[in-house]
Amino acid sequence: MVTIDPEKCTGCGGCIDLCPQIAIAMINDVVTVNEEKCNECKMCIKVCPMKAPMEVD
Amino acid sequence: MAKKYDVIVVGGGPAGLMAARTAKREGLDVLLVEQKKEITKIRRSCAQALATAPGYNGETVTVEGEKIIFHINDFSIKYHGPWLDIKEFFHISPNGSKIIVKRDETPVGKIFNKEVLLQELLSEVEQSGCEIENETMGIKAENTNGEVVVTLESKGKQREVKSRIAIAADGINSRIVQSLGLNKSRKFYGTPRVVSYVLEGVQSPHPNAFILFLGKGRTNGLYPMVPETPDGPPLFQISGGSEEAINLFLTQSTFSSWFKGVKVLQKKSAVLNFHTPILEPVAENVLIAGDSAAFIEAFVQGALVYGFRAAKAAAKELKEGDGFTEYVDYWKTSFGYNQPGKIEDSCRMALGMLAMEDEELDYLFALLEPQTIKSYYDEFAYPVPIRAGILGRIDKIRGEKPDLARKIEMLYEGGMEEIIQIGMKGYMA
Repeated sequence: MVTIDPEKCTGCGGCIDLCPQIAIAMINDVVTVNEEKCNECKMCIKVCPMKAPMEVD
Repeated sequence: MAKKYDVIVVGGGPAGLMAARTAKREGLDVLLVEQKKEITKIRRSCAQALATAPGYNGETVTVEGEKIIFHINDFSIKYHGPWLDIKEFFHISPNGSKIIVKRDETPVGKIFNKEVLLQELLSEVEQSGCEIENETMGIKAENTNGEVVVTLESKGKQREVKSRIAIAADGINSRIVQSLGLNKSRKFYGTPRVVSYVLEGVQSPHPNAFILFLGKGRTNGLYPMVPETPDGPPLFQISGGSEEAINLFLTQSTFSSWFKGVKVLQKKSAVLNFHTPILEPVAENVLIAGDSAAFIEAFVQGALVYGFRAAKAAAKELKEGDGFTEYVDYWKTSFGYNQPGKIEDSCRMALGMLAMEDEELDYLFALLEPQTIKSYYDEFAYPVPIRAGILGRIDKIRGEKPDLARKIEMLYEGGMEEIIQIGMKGYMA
């Protein structure tokens, strides 16, 4: 599972656009990963300019 | 799935808001969807600049009082926010040598506040009775039985909505475009990222300039610095390929004295799949507008124009038929990057400089100085005299710096993929 560090996230929405599973969305304008849809492909980690997504157990 | 709209607009940025406003004015039944809750809040890197060069991307835009007027497409939008005139545009090499683009007293461009611009547009769209769903993403569009089925996702739930026509205005990484298979025919050059800092307390000797700092320092660098319209002290937005790159630039470049004691007020960023434009931005009953069809981007003014044109095309199609041919023809002839050779010209110029060593840049800029190019900010125009200046001195360069001459020849004659890979190395994900 991946979560987004809100301290680092700028809300640019790039990971939302580029997630192959469409697992990331703005919820109340906070970039949020849907645990059920995330398959840990790590595309968000690769593309994020701010190093905000982190793998968690 | 009961309701069928005339037009669904996916994306509430400048292209989508303009498309929705225009479609409503044509008397159509419109749904606008946007993923953000606060539609007009800008959190992505954006220069917020108006290119005032007449004919830029096929349109001439002027500011008159509290209106922004689009002369060729004959529409205007209200804007009551602040303006900052850009008096000059510089490329600066590491030792401070400059290539200057200016036009005596006429500004080469104007900075505006995008949130204010979008707020005006959004109120008009709201007042027009347009249905708006925020916190809603368009994830797919399908043409079936002469209509469009758009799959929307909101708060984890998906549903389908029907429309006679859809306008994809969901930006440079459009899911609608992807779902229609329109990316298959585009060349793909990688996934560049950009980070921007909004800075307070910059001691710039050129406060009304748009500056491109060139030079590797410790990392591939291209650091555009753009003033932001302030209500208080002057602010600047500086961009680079990563936070590390920007921080190194601010603290260790030859310009670090400008940035002593700056405060970072806000960080923004962007990441995009970098493609050639969609040459024919229509897939049956889906029109692609703005950045969604573009190379890099269409700029805010481009987004407004193409959103306007897409809605006009939709209205014509629904009322009389054959609305799309004109839209496609207009896109092909107006958007600068659709003109033959323009992508290459622009890349060779910008990325060529990224590939040079610091002392090569200093040498080249010194050769070209005093170089003032009379132009607006227009990436299709100002590189022409710069290239002429460089190539006109190639014999001298070959004599004094043969490696640099070879690099220049490669950059002006080499393949696009190679140039982009070299030039954008520090930016790619």
